[in-house]
Amino acid sequence: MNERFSSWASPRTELDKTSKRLLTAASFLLPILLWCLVSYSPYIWHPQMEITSPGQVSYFREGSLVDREVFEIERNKILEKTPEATVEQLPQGIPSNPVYLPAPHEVMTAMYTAFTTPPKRSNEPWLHESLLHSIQVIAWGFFWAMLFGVPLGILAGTYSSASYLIEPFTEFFRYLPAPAFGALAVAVLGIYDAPKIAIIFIGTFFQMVLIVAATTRKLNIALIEASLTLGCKGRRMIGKVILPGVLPDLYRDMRILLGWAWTYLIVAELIGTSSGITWFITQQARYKNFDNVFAAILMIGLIGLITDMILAHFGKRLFPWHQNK
Amino acid sequence: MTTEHPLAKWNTPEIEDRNQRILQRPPSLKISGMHKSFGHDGKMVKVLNDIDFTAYKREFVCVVGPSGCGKSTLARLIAGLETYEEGVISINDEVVSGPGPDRGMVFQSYSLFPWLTVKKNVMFGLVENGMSEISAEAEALQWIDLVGLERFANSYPHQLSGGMKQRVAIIRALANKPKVLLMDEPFSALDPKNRLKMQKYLLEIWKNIDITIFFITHDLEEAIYLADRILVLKAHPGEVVETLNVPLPRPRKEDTFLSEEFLATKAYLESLVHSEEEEVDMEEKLSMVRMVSVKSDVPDIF
Repeated sequence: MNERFSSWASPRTELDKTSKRLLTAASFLLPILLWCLVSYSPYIWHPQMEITSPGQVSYFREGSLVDREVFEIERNKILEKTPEATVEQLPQGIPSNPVYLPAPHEVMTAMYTAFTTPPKRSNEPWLHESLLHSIQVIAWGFFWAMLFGVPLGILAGTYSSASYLIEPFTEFFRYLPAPAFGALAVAVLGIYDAPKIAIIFIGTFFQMVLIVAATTRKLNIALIEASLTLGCKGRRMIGKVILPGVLPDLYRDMRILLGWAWTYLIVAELIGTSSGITWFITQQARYKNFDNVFAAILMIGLIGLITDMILAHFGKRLFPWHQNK
Repeated sequence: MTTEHPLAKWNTPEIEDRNQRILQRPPSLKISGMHKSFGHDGKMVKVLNDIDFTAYKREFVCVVGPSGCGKSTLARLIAGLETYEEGVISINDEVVSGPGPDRGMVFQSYSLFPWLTVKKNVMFGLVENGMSEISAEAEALQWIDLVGLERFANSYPHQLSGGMKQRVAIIRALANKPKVLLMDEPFSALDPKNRLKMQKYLLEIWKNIDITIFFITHDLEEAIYLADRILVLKAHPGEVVETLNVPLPRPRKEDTFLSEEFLATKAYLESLVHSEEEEVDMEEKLSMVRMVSVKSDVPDIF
């Protein structure tokens, strides 16, 4: 046991399996524990009171939330007027958190009920439809970015001429924040999905070109030289040596970039007509269903994490020769 | 008459005779008037200065020299991986420029394609030069047999040991039937035992096929053990000091390493290679070390 803890504190040491599992679990459990503490133990935060009975205070309503100070002031006012006030005359309440911090169990229930609750209006999408729409926008944006970004990146990484032609402008463009093109995208591409896809494209494409170029350049030069001495020439080399050589690293780059694409999603979906998961979140926030808001945000995180885990798993199958060093 | 070469007494009539026969063979690799410079901080630094050398058919040539003499550069020039300002390289009397399948190369670092199995690695050059997959596969398997790696034909390079990787690299280069096999310190990453094994392998392969080998090394023993002739270079700029006939009979035996003529050759080569490398005066440094007090349970290791 002591050995285990000493390995936790030594730099760059491989941990044993139990430690790894323990720490991975803790990495999720600690924030959840903190959330539980704040939600369920009444004296850590709970700055408000949920009124259970308004007593003689005219503007208190049962079930509404008021700041704890306001509650105390109103209660003291009544006590001053009639010191022998009965329980019925005094306002009653329980300490509670503000509406924007729902408790874990409420969010957990919302994770399920958000899917089963029909939309307020019949022409509005269900949650699963919103989610699907978001995934489609991401997929298209990422697809177009890959379609152009990967070949350009590989060219830039292979030929110095292509590198000098492509990279300086890309380097400049990647500093332009993608959301800044929102209004322009709407003007050019209309108000529906096209401008959203364009924002995700702009957000990922320029980074992708540079990252793919850097990855391509990292390919062991000896492999290229060996192929030259074996008679591999010109453009054939890209297909026969460079592409297969960088494929595992390219795959890893794409996983990282897909994460970036998700971060652009929310801004992209606010452009033109709000849609997808963002529309759901803003709509629910408007109705003060913050449990649903939290549930939706968690869902984005879960989808991202699960896709990445699936991709990582497939990566191991796809590239059996690749060792992570 | 010039003074007699220090190694002349080891050149028996048989060895002399064999050397003469080698020189009568048609030339395989011819380098003439070769100059090469690298740009460095805006200045051109001469790496190779007027190199002239001819290797004859099926000859085993080793190149030795102090670090910075441009011996690797020379191999890369012949392979067509570097450009040069002046000079001509010809293979079988045909002038070559740029890389081509008539010059195979084995690199110091492992250069097998990690995404291809051993078999596919060996097939690579064959398919690139227009052979069909089926006949390339049959040919590749023969080569793999030759170096005893049948069991690993479908393994990936990362599953092989260092020595096995270099064996595959050698047959991958040889499968293309090059005229010249260039080897740039191919065994320097191996441990001594494996290195000797690989050297024997290489001599065995060389004996059996029609190939001229141009072998770069910094290991003098390796050069003497393998070579017919040793090209000795000096540094700054790289120039030929001597082309030395190795006064050892063929086939080379394992106990060659301890023979008198071997040790004499080594001593002579060392004098050529290391003469100009200035020796750092270690004595002064050591006396500094001696001043550091040692508090130990073992006061004297002798």
